[in-house]
Amino acid sequence: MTIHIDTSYSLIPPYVVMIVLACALGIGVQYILNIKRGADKKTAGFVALLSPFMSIFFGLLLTYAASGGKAIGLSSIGGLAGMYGSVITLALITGDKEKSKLMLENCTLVLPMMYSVSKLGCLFAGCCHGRPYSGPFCIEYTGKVTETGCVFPVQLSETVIFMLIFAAGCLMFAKGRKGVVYVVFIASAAAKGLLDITRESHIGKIFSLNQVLCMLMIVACIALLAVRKRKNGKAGEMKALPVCEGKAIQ
Amino acid sequence: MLVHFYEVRNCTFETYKGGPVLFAPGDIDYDILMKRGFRRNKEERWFRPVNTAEYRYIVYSAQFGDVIIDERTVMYGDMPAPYGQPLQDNTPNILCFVSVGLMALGFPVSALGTILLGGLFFLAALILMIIVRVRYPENQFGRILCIIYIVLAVIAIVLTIAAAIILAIICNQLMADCESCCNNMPG
Repeated sequence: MTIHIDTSYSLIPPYVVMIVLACALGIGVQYILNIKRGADKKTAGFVALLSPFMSIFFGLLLTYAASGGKAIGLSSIGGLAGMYGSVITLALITGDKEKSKLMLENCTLVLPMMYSVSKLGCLFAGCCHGRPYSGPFCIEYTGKVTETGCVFPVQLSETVIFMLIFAAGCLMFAKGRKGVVYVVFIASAAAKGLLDITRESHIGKIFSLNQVLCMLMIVACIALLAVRKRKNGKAGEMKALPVCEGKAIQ
Repeated sequence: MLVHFYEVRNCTFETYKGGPVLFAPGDIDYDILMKRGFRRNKEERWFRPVNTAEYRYIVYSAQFGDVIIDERTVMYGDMPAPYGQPLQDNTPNILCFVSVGLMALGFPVSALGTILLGGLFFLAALILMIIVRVRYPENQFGRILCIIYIVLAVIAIVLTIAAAIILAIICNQLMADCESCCNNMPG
């Protein structure tokens, strides 16, 4: 079975529509989740204000830095850094550790959905396409992108897999499972890194920049999990000890 | 001795990390604490650093019992000399001016340098405005700046989307024209 996609469009380019839709959906859902979980409305609003600009900035910055200043374009991992950057910035400003943790969790939960929707834009535009492949669900582009022949449906696979990760994350979160955000984060990074092998741009490379960054993210997440576990263990031991920080001025 | 700081009643006056601070009791509403510039420390206690004028006033008034700091104390100069100066903290205004400067510089930097460098200026301006709105919520300059930046942000997003669509349409049309030109070529 071959999927035929015509990359020519009459008026509005689908890529722009999907990127805008992904941003609007992600930031909107994140704002609602922040409010529902008790974050201050103003703080949630500032995160929503800052995140599109930080995502675009870091998205452009990563491509620019990776190409040695020769190219500029949007990168999904840069966008992810921007989304987290906006939450961390607000966390540093407000100094509210509990709510900041909660906002970081919400951000992690919505990121797979944002990525899933944005990849539909790539699918319709024919960019970031897969390596040559003639098996089931191969994609044959017509219109502007015609030189590729039949390719692996990497963007479609990403859309489906990341939507499943988002759905699974929401389900586990609704059931009150512990460590959902870590599972979502590691699953997303692993899926992104593994699917990158099927991309045409990966041909001739052992590891792409995306894969290296995904591996680093997984290692960082596991290290954070280990530190947190150790800290919780120590906190359990110290529970009986009294905590006294301030001295009263007479 | 307790300090009643606006709506935040029964604060304790303590030292924290080497400086005088007010610690709020645990039952105060989060929004009120944020509005009055309180922050939460690692031990989940809400505190607010005390500036020099407030410190002098609290120390002077403590001899008469509990201390009240509110609009009346600050606005009508209820503080005894030499403590009667209204509390003036210029930090938020300075931050706002720096933010406006960065925002204004962002445009020429984007045009002359790279868009990334300009973006850095815009982001810094936005973050400074947010710092003022969170730390000094009653500052009028910060409030106006916030509204202006939100309007600018909406305009920037709409213009970016429009520019991307127009650019894509132009490219699409150019390619279509080129294709038809190639198809009509004799031979």
